[in-house]
Amino acid sequence: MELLAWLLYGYQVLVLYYFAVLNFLYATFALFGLRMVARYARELSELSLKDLLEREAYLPVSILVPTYNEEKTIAASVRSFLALRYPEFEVIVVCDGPRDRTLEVLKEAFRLVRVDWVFKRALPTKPIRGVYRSLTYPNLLVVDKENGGKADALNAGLNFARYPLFCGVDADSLLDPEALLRASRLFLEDERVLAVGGTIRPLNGARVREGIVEELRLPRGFLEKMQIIEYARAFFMGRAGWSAMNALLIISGAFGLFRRSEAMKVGGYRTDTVGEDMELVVRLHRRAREEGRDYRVLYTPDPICYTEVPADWATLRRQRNRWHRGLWEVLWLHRAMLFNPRYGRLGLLAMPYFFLFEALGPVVEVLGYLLLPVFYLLGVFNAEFALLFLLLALGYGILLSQLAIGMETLLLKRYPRLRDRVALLFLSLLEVLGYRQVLALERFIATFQVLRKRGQWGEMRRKGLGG
Amino acid sequence: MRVLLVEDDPVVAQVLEMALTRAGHQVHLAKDFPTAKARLAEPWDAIVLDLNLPGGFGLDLLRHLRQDLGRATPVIILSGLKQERTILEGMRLGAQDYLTKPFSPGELVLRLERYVAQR
Amino acid sequence: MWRRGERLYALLVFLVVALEALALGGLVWVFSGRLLGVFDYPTARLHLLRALLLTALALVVLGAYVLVYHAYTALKEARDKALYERYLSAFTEALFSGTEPPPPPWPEPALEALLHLRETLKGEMGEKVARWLRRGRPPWAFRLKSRWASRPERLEALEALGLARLPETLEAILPYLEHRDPVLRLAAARAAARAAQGKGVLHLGEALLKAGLPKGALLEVLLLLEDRAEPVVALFLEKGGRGEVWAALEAIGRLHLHGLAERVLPLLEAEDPEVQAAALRALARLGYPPVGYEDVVLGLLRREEEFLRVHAARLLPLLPQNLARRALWEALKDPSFYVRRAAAEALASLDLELLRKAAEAHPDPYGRAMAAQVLLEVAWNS
Repeated sequence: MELLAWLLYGYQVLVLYYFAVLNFLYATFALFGLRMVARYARELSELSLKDLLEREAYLPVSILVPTYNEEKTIAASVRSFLALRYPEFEVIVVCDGPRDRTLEVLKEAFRLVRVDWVFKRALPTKPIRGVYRSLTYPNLLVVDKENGGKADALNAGLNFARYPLFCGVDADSLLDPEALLRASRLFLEDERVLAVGGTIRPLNGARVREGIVEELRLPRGFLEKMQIIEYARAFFMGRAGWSAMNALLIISGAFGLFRRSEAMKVGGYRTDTVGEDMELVVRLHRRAREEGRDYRVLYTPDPICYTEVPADWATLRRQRNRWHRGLWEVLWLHRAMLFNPRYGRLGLLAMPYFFLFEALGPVVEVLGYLLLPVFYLLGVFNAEFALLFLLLALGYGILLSQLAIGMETLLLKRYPRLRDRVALLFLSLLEVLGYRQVLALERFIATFQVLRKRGQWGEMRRKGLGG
Repeated sequence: MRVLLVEDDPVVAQVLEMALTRAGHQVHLAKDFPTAKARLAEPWDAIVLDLNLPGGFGLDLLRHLRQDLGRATPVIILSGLKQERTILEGMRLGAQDYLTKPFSPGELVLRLERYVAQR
Repeated sequence: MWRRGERLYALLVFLVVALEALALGGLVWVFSGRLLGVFDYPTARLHLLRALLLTALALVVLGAYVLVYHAYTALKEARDKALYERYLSAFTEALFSGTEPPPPPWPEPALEALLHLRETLKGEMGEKVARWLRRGRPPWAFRLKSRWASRPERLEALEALGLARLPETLEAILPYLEHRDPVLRLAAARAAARAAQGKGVLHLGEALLKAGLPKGALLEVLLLLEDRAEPVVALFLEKGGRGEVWAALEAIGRLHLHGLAERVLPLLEAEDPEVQAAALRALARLGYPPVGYEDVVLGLLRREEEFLRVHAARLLPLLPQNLARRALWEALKDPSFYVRRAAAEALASLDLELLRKAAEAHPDPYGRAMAAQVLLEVAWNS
């Protein structure tokens, strides 16, 4: 019995080690992220952006918009893309065999006419049913194809794209008008750059007028408010930190800029995974490292893309389930890189981190909770101790959220009202009392569903832009 | 005369407003694409048009004015964009003139008055 | 898009993180010790409580700081905005009525207003604003020369000087073109391009040759020089390395520097294919026929590098007509999609009838398809 107690205690210490390393890493990210954001803020010159826009030194961009059933919001979205401030770009909307009136809505809104367009079938995709051009917007192309999934739609778009850079967006992404300028500037200033990711922020609650975000306000829904904090943490500390170490593995599908030639060289997006955005970035890293090239994959912290986040538990859990499965799928597909010194910081730091802490994290956490009653039954449960430890763990969680909220306060386009600021700080307390745990459970379940549900998406109930 | 000024930069807007008001004209300001588009429907003697607007591109407003509304109101484009493509496109769509920033307000007002007088 | 003044916040964060790391480290130590029987339960408990208290303290301090910072910056910005608008109207009023502006010293928002006015206006009014700027005794040139200025301050100063465009400030900017930090070098290059006048432009050119900027940045600088660019472009062609020559060629095309067109021709035979491509592009943009180099261009059509063939195809319409027609007809057979496209587009501008014929009767099926496609696009765009 003594031995058992000792073993269980040993397990608790292990969990403590896990927790300590994890928080130490988070703290490192927080510092890296803060430093990177502060440096970047200094380096970025508004003037240089203006010059980029006004003169001929720019790289044209193809914006790829994969869409499925989005009849309610697609017209407003596409209009907002067409209104971006950039000297030369095209918008390619790929309708992935929608079952609603998405294509019809587009035809009406943009006066589309069918054309017989010749294009290079560089990447294999599901058959194209039709290609349409707009009479009112010469730089808009709409491709109608048989359903094949988001990655397939992106690949189809890539086949039609003709500019050196392409930008993958979600149909409901609302880009900051200067998003392309800020991101493409990095390609111009450094030839080694392969891909650039931006910051994604929840759009919910913001006052939007005709595609312009006029003011950020806290949404009413509890879940939406939680996600504001989550996204701040993920981007300002997580991505910024990894980018500073040149080991950025994730560029969100909602907004990412890539060199088209590089993406084509590695074969475009993979269609058999739900984490296709991360998978492409990892593959770009991998290929470049294997070829021994000097390269960069960067994150730019300027708030660049707003997207609607789920407002109900069902959609949110489906989304997180999908993200977690995607993560496992990508880790599995590229398992050769794990702990492999050939891949430098990626193999030794980034991939192991995502494996041990992001992918396995929910498992450790949920097991931790599940083991508490076990300890109680075995009589080795120390209530006071457990409570203190739990409080500490939660306290760290809150600390990180507060750090992220602090970073958000530094933004020019922050949530302006002081009472929203107070609300956010208090909400970070609530986050660790239930919200986190539910999502950890969902990701825990997702871990065991990876094999069963390969490559499956869900649907999202759309509220509509500005709703 | 009634002049519609479509400009989102507050400095340029203030300078132009002062220049035009001192020359004896009535100036109305539209600061973004949707507002400008709505106000185009009103009768104007002249329009000064910026291109980089929040919510849309100025040339689309010009297209709307010339093609959809069928008006021949004199338009001077005042923009920081210096690309040849943009200049040609603007003239092709029927602008009377294309001035780049930095600009001389006196010169702009004189040109505007001349285009209006020529009608 | 980010506010300044987050140094204190960074310090605070660092402190918090460092303290928490210590507490956590202590915990790990004690708990491992307990596992091995070194420490007893009360010790472990004490450490746990300490860590908890520290965390709670950190939360309170951090939370309080964030709120105070938010409130303070909101107030400060509102005040600065009001100042800015007041001075902007005062300056604009003074400009138009010919009176004197309110006397210096001027607060920072006022200088900002002047910079924006300087950016907006040219001619007599622009010069008046420049005079006022000088009168305001701005700190920027001084900061650049000082040894104690921080990096963000230097960047800000460089940007301000870029907006101010005062030729006498060039001498403060140029030394930064040799700075260790590439970001400062780039910012200085941009600022210098805007400020340089007359002889200063040549000094800038010489400094750029030594600056080692990436070619995209060099091009940006040349474009910023606008009608002052020609001497620097000529200097780049003469003495520049690969990046400088590339940027010079691109600038010749985009700025339409016809005076230098002749010097582009020999570069068609350069060793570096990127330079050759840039030369092709420049000639195409200028509309300058490559007299005496026709066979070189035709030779480039047979090169392995796809992008060279593409740009050569685009230049063909400037060759003697028969030569061009034959070469474009041949190019429609090219195995590369992009070369075929460039050839078809070039043929469309040269001889639409021939393109029509190609759409029907060209021996290569892909060539026919591409010709038909381009014909469609031409009809569409007209």
